[in-house]
Amino acid sequence: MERSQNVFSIQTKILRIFIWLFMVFFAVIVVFPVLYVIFGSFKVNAELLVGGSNIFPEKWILANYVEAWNQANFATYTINSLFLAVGVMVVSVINSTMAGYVFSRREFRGKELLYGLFIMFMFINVGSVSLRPLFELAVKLKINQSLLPVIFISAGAGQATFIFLCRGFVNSIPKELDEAAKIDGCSFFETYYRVILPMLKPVMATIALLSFRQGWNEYIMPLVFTMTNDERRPLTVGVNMLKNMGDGTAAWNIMFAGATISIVPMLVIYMLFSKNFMGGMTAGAVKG
Amino acid sequence: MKRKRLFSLLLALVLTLGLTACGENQTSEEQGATNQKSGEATTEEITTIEVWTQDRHDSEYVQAKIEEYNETNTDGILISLNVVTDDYENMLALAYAGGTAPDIASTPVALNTFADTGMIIPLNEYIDSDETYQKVNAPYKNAYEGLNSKDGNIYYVYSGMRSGVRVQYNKTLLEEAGYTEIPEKLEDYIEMAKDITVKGSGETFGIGFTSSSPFERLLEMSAQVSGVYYYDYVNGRYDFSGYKDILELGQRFISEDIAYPDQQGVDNMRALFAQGEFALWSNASQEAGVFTSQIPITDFEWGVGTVPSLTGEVNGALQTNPSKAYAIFSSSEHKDKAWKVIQYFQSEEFIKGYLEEGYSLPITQYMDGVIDKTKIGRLADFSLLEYESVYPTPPTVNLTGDNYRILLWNAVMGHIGIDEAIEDLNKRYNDALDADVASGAVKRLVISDYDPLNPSEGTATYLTE
Amino acid sequence: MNITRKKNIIKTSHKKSGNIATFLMLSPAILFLLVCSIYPFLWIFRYIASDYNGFTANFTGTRNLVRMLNDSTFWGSVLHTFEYAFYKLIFIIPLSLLMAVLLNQKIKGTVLFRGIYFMPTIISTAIAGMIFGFIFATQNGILNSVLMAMNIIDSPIKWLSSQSIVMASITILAIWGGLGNYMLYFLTGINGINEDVYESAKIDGANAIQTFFRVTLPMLSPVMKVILMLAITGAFKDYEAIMVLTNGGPGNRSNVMFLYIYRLIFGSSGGTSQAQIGYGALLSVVAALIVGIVTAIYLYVSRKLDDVV
Repeated sequence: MERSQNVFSIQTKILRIFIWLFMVFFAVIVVFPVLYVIFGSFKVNAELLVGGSNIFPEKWILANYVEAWNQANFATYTINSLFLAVGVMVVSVINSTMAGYVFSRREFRGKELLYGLFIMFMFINVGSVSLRPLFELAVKLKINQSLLPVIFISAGAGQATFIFLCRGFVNSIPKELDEAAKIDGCSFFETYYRVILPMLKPVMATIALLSFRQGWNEYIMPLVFTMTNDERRPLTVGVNMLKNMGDGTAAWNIMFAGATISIVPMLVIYMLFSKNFMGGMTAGAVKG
Repeated sequence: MKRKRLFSLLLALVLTLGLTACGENQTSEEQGATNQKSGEATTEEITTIEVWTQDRHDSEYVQAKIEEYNETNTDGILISLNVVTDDYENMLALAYAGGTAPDIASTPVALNTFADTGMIIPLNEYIDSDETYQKVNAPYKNAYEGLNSKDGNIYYVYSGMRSGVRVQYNKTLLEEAGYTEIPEKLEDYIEMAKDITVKGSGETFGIGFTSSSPFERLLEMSAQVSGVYYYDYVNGRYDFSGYKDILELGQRFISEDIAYPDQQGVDNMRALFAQGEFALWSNASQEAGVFTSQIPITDFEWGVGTVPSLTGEVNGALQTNPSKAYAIFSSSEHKDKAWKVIQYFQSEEFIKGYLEEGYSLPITQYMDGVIDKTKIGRLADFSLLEYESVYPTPPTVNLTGDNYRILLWNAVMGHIGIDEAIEDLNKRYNDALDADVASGAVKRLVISDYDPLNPSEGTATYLTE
Repeated sequence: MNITRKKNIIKTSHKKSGNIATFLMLSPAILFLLVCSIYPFLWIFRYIASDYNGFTANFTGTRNLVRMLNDSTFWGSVLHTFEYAFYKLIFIIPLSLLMAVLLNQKIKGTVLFRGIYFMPTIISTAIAGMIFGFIFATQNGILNSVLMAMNIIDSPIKWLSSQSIVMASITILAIWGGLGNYMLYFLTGINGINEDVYESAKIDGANAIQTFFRVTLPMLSPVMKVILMLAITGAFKDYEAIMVLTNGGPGNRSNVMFLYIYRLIFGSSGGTSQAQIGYGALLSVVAALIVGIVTAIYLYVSRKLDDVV
């Protein structure tokens, strides 16, 4: 028995090394374009535009970053982006978990019809044209100069996916838990808050991360809603404005610098939330 | 538990930011309101005139002049400039719909969408009462039917222009292949490019094209100077059959592997040209600034030549792009003061300084005579040719499928047969035109005395069938 | 007796407050649906029988319908969309599942790896497009240089300018951009599986591969259904990356439905044609129908499979 265990573990060891090598190889391929962006941000514009295999700049131009920071009013833009992204995140998580819970656990007239509507509009994509009616609506409500409507529209437009996910996950939580909670005296909402929500941690983390990214990457909507209001612009809009239109060349190197700066907060958030992907469901929740 | 704390922390953050945003929003809203509808409300009788532009490349000069004006003018006017580089016209339309349109739109907008709907107003009254303005800007001479004027109504006046397309070439590469100047005949041009590519043996090429509207940058202009245009003004219909010869020649660039194998974005191709990867590039006068300061060419000398034509002779005008024009929105509450601002932007002093910075070419004889040509650098190489003009705008149609520039370039690339492409275009464009004229969406433009060398001097009539 | 009555009272009061709670909890989602999805759709929908260029609308009756039926570019783009979706899904689903499983093991550096695989999803499409333009360039492109240096190919491959290869190129870009996303979904799904199940599998003496196929995969099945559906609808809606990389070329080879619709709605610069929001709206509806039908077929098939398996 001892012998077979030893052989087994050497096999596993080799396998694990292979797997590790594969993952490294793959990671290199995946991260290469990102590295290109980061290194490219230090290049002179002409050198960057040529492309080619040299990802390292001939001369490291730090001025790109200085210019991006100053010209693009980066501090303000970053705060605005954070506001937008966190807003979308909070709204999305709350909204989709609640709705997913209701769809999973409740029966009512027209439920499937309503759900069908949600799914239908998930792939009815009118895209950026929907901006016009929404903008006019916002003007009527006098909120067209801030990012608040952008938060709601962004969360609202992307909700179907997250509701879909939540419903699926709540479906996989055994109904006995609900019963147990009810017996303990929990109302419908309390069951949601005390029992289901904690079990949804992995999917909540996913939704939080994805909706944060969605808000972070929003471009056209904030562009329209902050047309004349430079104070409220998020990073995406600010960075893109660095392009010289009309008779000039676009300053891609500064845009790359801006893009690199924008990656950092996203990565931080990702690291923050990634722990939750590893947390498995507590065993024996039903039996105990 | 940690997660819960994090959650509540984020929630608090969002709420605080939200409250501050709301609070600040109020003040900026108020400010916005005062700015938009001010004038009499503030203490010092200051009127803010909002100007939107699409140009960022000249903002250094423009901003400086604006500041100068803001400090020295006696009319209590404050000019506020907003640069909108993306989706300029859509943003304007959105702003107008939302009641937040600016007073002045600098950078021309399409007449059929902005003028016919009454968003911008004709400027004739203002123009007619100002003689200096007329002297400097020659508004009636530079009124192009369908472009900036309709039915005698002038909506905005140009104060600069971009030249027609020119060839930019790498003198060193040309000399190495035994050439010193750009041939006048298209076929010779192609042969020259071929020689350069052969000599380059895979390292350097004769010519490069961009993926961004490639047809417009060389072949369409060659066609124009050969007398070929896609709209038949005499008969009032679209006709693409004139392009056949040009397309057959143009195909050679691709089928004989003469061109640089990649067609990337404009900026990328410019950078590759500056590196000496290929010898021939073609674009208009904006390249003067690009190759001098933005993507400077230091390794070789570059020259500017004229676009070749089919026979070597010039039988048609070359399209130029007038620019730098100012329109007043009908929603503006200070039209008179807006006009004063326009008078400043189009004053001799302003334009002289602008042109001498090399941002644009002069559009009037007067300004051409006034500016100091030694200051404009390479832009002098792009000076107006006598056969450069502006073509009247053909009627805009609702087209199904690809537009002619995409399709004809596809023909050049060999993805579709030339005859097939021409037939397809003629059918689709004319079907759309007939349908749109029948439904009253657009009028058919006919110029019976059309002369290809002077396209804008015929008499334009609009038919309803 | 007492207890049953109490239970009944709790039940009814639960039901009442439950109903209110249900309504309240669902109301934001319904509000969003109305304002952000239905309202804009109806706003656009009213133009499907007109020519609308963003400024003026002309009612044209069934002309848009006729145009659509004769629009070979559109139907070509539908075909390309199916093609693209097929290629993308065939590669990205197994790959992200594999990566998720691998990353779930206790191997050194999984946190770093997870971060790296997720990074592509943070880069904006415009910039990713330019970078891949550099990678796929024929003359000085990185991919060609590497492949030639390794002697895998003799002459440069025309990744973006050859009609036979361009689909591969956009698929590669799609996989690069989407891997992190689906990997995330799968990771979440895998972590939703109760660890007891793995314990009993180990006791039964299952090795890694057996565990995967007999335990992980079946337990993932409900989540997998969800992810697949998201992947399918996602793949059909993809257009931004393609727009930046090839703009539908060469010769419309990589033109997908929503890219064509985008061009119609926003107009292409120059060329005397204008934005056609009315016609674009009609095409959007048709495109949505197509995606809907595909999804419905998928749901039907997956339900049947459930019965079998």
